[in-house]
Amino acid sequence: MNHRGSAACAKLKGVNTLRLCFATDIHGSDVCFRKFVNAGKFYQADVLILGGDTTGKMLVFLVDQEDGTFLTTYNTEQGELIREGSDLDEFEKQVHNAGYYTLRVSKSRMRELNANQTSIERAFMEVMLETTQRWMDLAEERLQGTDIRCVIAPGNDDHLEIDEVIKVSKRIEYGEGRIVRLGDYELLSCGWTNPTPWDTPRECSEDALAERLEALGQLLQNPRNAIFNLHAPPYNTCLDDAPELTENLRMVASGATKAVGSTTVRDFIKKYQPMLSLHGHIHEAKGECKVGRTTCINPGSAYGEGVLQAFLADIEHGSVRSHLMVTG
Amino acid sequence: MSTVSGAPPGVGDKSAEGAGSEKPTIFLRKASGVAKAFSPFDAYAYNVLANNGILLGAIAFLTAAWAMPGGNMALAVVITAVLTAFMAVVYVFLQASFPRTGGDYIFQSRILGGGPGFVLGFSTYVVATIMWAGTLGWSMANIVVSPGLSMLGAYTNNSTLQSIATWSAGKWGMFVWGAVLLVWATVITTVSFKTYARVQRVFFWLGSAAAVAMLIVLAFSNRLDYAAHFNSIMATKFGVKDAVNSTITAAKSAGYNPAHSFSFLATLGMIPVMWFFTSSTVWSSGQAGEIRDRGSVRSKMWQIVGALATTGTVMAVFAYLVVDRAGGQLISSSTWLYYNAPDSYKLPVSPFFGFFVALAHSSSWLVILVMVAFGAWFLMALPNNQVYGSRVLLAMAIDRAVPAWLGKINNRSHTPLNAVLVISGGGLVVNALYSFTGWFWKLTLSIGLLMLLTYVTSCLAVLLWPRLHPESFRASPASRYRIAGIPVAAVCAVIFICVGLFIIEQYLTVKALGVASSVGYAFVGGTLALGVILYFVFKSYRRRKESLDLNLVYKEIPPE
Repeated sequence: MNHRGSAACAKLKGVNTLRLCFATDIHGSDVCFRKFVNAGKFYQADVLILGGDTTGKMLVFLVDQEDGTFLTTYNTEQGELIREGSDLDEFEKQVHNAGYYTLRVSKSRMRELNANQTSIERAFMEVMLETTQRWMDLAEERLQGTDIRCVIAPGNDDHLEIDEVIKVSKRIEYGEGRIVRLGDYELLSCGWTNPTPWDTPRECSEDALAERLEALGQLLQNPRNAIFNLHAPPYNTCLDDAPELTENLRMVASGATKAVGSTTVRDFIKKYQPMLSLHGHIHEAKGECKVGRTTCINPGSAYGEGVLQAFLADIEHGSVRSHLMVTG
Repeated sequence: MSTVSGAPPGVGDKSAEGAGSEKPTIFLRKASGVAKAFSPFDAYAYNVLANNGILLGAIAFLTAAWAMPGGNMALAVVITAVLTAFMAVVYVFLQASFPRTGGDYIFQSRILGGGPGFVLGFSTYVVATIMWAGTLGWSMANIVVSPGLSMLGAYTNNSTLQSIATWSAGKWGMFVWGAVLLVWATVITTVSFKTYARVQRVFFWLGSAAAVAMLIVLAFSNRLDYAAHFNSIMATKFGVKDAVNSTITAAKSAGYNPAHSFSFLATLGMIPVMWFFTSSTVWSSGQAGEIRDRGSVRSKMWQIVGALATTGTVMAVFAYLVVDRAGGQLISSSTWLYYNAPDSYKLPVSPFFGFFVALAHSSSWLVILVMVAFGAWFLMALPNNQVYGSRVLLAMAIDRAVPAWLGKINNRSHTPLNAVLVISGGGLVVNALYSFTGWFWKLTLSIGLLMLLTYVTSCLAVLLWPRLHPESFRASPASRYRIAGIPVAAVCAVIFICVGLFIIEQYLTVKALGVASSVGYAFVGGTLALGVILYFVFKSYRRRKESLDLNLVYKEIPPE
């Protein structure tokens, strides 16, 4: 732990200040998750919020050659052999830090998997759930003995199966589809997004999203003191600027971008006007903007570089006293 | 959603390929993932236009020809390009490792800390881009409009064209052309990034085609014919008799000796000048977060080193052909007179190399071709500049290192409008100072040194990276490419730091380069000092008013 960072935070933070640290879209990056759970102590945060798209997208197979080496096609299409032991451990660490999963298999198991797409998908799901469980255990261990609260809500890229893993954790608070009370403030979380071109696990029509959000909005006791954690950014703000694609997922033209956020999310924020609205989803659209009185932010994501992009906010007397984007 | 950054090369349709085999596959599940907006080709074109060999080459050749007698300009271009390639490779790895908008500011602030990142980012990409923005009026007037219209007017006996040419070279002419360029650059960089990319492509191809046509014209001429054409046009259109010999004689009479034999040392002395149009090959760093290349090292090589190779090759051929056809003595004499004895300079327009190309044949079409080539390259120079400068301001604003309004993205155009306007506004002030005062231009000569200091610092950052942030370095592409176990990026960084120190030494000792004077030192030192002061002012303001510690922005959270 970097004590200089902690000391600087402690000195600046007021006595009655709620400091929250928000990160999102770490997409399976092991090093980013480790940084996230350490961010509480590092930034002297009272609450850690992970905003969705937590799980990885890719599984790298390592085939046991039965001679003390494993074959992988991760770095080269021709394949490379990696010696079992520290070399293999280091290789797996790098792959995990980049946000991908690994699975060691025998030659016969690889043959079976290659012959059956469903088996590969099942293997992926097993590894993803195991990793998520391992992360929850790690978070419990790291946060033990502290007062730091940690809320995790899935995003559109996260399979529904991970919810149970988060829910059973004793230390992590599951945020999706509910209101989590943070002292005087309420945290409303929704990882569902408006439709994307990839047909991801948690996306729905704008109308269906409106129903989900409205049901949550009704649960708020004091919307103006609320903090929204909505994975989809509001439409046509600087937080939702993404490349414009054709139906074949190709660029319409170089430099062409369009707003891909949710109109529902924008309307929802306009209606309830919480003090702060946290978003993710579009990694490159790091920034902040105002929707009415509400400060909306997207810290972006650079998980592939092993960098945790996060947002720190000090909240006092029902308003955001100060905030900062950090690259931890 | 968004980019699958650093997706490994093994990813593809492996499931089908490996069906039933024991070859390991990589399974990519259905999940969101897109490319970014700016294509690798556009990044390459952006870098070529940032180098802007036609514009900066014109200025560099003008200086090198007389200041380093005996030097071979073509060879100097080749050597400079080769040496710059080491820096280019360093930036390939930096961009691949930090594919984010903000360029050197991001690289340095994430590796070395906020102080160096802010001070050099501010000096180079705020002050220097504003200064550069303000000088282009002079360049446009004196390198393109005035000589082009003057010659066209003489060819066609059109006094109106000649009047416009004369007015353009005057104070108001320079100011107006500069203002027009600033408005043009502001518009195309703020309408939308798509518009910028489209306009850039049009001008890239137009400028390239015209430049190739100029090379062909030169290639099919020879020295004897060239001298005859030159003398004939000067005599019939401008009343300068025996122009070649009279120019050389005038230089000799004024104390210059144009007859130098080849000197390798003088050729090396040209490196700091040729550096003008090779160093910006790394400028795609500014919008690295917007380039659609998945941080691929190979793609970055093409964008950065490829742009350098293109610029170096074209400008080396230009240097060879211009000197060979026009003759080294004519070029060095005319440029020496232009700088050192302007009263004895009798040629009708400034001796930029386009002038020598235009005189290869007696044709007004050739003059128009030269104007189109230079015009196309000039018109993209300023927008190119605005893009980088505004992206650095945007990155600084997101880090709260400068006021947040500077980083505001316009909802309609999705561009950092305020940042562009600040650079354009500053550019307009500089343009006025440059046009209407007799001293301000001297300050602008030091821009190259500021940029060099930034590049050398980024190379130094690469050397320190494994020590300062071992985890981040291990995860980066920079750690994967090695020579004898040493990262390629580190090897190239060491070589380029040596090259950079040589160029710095030249800047500080050779007066002809324009920095070695109390004015130059004061400008460079003052700009850096201003950067330091602003950094601490903003940092202190954030701490007092908002209780924010800006150090947190740059600190890496320990993962263990």
